[in-house]
Amino acid sequence: MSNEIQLKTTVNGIEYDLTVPARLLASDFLRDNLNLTGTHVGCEHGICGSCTIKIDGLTARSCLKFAVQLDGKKVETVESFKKKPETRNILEKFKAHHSLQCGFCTPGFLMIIDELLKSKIKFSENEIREALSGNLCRCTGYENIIKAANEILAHKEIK
Amino acid sequence: MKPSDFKYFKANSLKRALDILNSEENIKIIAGGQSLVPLMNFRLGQPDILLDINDIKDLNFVSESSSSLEIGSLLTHTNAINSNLIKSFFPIISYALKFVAHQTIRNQGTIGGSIVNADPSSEWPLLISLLNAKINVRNKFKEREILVNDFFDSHFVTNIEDDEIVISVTLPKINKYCWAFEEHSSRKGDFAIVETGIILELEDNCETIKNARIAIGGVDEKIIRLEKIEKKLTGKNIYQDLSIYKKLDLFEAINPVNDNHGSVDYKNYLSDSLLKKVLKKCVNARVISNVK
Repeated sequence: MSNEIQLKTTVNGIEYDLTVPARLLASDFLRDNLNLTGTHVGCEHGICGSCTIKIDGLTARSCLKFAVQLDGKKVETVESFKKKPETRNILEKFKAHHSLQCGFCTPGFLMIIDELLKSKIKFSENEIREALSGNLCRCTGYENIIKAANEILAHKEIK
Repeated sequence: MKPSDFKYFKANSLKRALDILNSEENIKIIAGGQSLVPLMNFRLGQPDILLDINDIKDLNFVSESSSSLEIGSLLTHTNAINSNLIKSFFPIISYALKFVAHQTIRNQGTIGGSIVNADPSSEWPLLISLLNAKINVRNKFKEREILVNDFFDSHFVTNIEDDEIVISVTLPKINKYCWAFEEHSSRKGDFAIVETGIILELEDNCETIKNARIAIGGVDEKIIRLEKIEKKLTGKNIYQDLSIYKKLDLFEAINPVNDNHGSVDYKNYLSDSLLKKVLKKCVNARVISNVK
């Protein structure tokens, strides 16, 4: 039991072994310690969704996790999109539909859409809208994000 | 928006966690952390020690016995929604949990965390109240069972002691029943302003109400069971006699307050209209039969 904890975690396929303060939030850990600044910090109390990451395949708000809780986990951030060719379509649809303006909220939306794409359920347009409603965007009015998400998820194959 | 300093301990067994709880002061247990961490970020909560129980595998399960379903305290909302056992015996749970925040939060939040947080407008507290649950808690020395009626004390306050952990929640099976759940919030995913659920247990003829249960949240310091209305409905025919519900019986039982979500009048109005809606929905719902 200590204020400083040793942490071994895999982020975007790279293993890290560091000692961090127990109170360090996962969002700050990713940004400040690992320099993965794609994870954006908006509200810091779980409302805005901009800091959404994946922990062992499930989305989580990194401002509501402590870095030490990532110990032994596989973490994905928006930077993982660069390495995965299958995410290219998500980015292209965002571009085609002008689904971002300032881009602050975009990493969160991308992580959510990636989760929807990988789940085994086919979503209706309403369900997509509902799934995206947990993330705040102050520029687009959401419609362009929803258009892109609908197109991305329309061609989803259920195995 | 940074939590104050604390010591962190990750327990890999229940015994270890209970030892720490027994020997140290000002500890907070973290499960999903979806309500606790915001409080810590605002420094409304400043524990000296954070006890992480997420690695205790014994607390993450759903199991069935002849008379009940038991849900381990670490089961997340997402896993509860996807559980076939829960869906077949208590579809009201799978339905109501979709109102909990958003998927990302549901992926992390747990039943144990939700009930000890005891928010009078959240879904799990209402569900366990409606389902006459027993909450199994344990400290270093003994295990005890708390009936849901004795579990919630007030806003965010339960009758669990500081050295106890919620192990599981036991939900007694119901033979023949219909159900409905509704809530209203300003935006999808927000906390409910008012939420209400109903279970009408039926006689073998599938028409006479053997036992009525109605719970309402958001309108008092804890979840309320509308006992007077429940009594009036018992013995009645579900297709004919539900007009026996009178809103005065409801207003007598609840105690809403003026706040930024609405006035007392508004909450009374909302409670009445939601209750009428669940009564209507319940009558038209498919009867769940768990007789084997």
